[in-house]
Amino acid sequence: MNKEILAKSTVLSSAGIILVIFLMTVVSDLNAGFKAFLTSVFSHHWIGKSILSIVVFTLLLVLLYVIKPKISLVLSVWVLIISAGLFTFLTFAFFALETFGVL
Amino acid sequence: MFLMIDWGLLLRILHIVGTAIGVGAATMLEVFSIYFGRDGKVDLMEHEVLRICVTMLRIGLVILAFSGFGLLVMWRLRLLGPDTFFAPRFMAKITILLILLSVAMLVNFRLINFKLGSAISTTSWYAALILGMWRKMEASYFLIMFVYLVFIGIVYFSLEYIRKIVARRQ
Amino acid sequence: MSGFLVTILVLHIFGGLVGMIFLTSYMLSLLKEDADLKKLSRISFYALLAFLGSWILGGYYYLTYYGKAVKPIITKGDFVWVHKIVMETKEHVFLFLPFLALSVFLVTFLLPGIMSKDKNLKTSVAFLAFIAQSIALLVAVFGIIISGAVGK
Repeated sequence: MNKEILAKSTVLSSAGIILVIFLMTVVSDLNAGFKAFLTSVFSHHWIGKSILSIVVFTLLLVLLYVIKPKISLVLSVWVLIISAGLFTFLTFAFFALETFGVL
Repeated sequence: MFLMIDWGLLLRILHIVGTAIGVGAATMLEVFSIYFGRDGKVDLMEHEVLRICVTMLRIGLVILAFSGFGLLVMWRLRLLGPDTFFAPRFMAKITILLILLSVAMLVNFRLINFKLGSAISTTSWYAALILGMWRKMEASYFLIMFVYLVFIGIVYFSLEYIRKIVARRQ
Repeated sequence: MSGFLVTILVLHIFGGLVGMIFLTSYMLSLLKEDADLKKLSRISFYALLAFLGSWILGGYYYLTYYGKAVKPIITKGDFVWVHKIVMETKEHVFLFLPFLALSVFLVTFLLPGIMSKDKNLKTSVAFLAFIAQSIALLVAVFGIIISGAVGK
């Protein structure tokens, strides 16, 4: 096992899953069908998002470990930092805009 | 009835203990910084003393955090609601606590002038103490924060004046 | 609320607090010249466990109690936005935390040798811990706001 590639894959998968969580959040709110799908399969949409996050993260991790991305570990960490900050803000903004009728 | 302990009383005691430790440590940190800094340098022993003060400050903060959240759970269970949680005094206390945490981080990583950071930290500790004790305060959030900012200025210049006097006596 | 649910709620909050404290300790220690990477691996692992625990306990409280007992009170009152903006943000942003904590832990655990020599890597991971801690703090503040919207 290549430790550096595993570490990099984890970091990049985390960045990816944050994007996926944001997309699931937005889609389930704007598309009743997706929310209903999550509820029917997982009994609650939030359980569905939690489980799908773990599953998709694992798949991303395996995929990235195999692909061995050329990006440096330091840059990968910064991608994750920006992803976390950005999508935290965007999640808040999405719900705020939706509540105030802009979306 | 949970374990027959008066949780409210225990949490209030812990909260006061945390405040006492934190305010005490912040005060002594200021006193020692000024005294040790009078000759322009801090030796190993002096550095160790300052480090202990910082550790006590952090212990006070941890006790405050846990007891504070415990008290908030009790408020929640009593359904005290917006009148308590969104009261100007409480909102100001939380804001000042967040400022204190941010400044502590900035000072630690030398991203802010140390004298300014310590003035803000000291003022914040005393402000949190006063806001916690002054139950009958009727001021608005913005007035409280304005007075807080004014006091940061007063504390900063007072400490600067004290530093000059102490250095002159060296 | 039953004693069991109160305990779950308290442990959820404390799990988050403990995670924040460990991440803060990690961040403050990492950038020192003589940083003990083995100790930091343990600290970041405890942070991860704390956030995972908080996730599970918070999820249990949310699924069994919040939806049927708390949300109706908030949405009937003057602070509907607290559920629609604050709670919705909190329940989704919280999902970021375990992955952030996992990244901090794994990088430290797998690459202590590289981390001790590479200042850029140390700085970036310290900042990652800072971002994770800041998000955890934001989530905690949101929790206070949500509790505040629940009146008689």
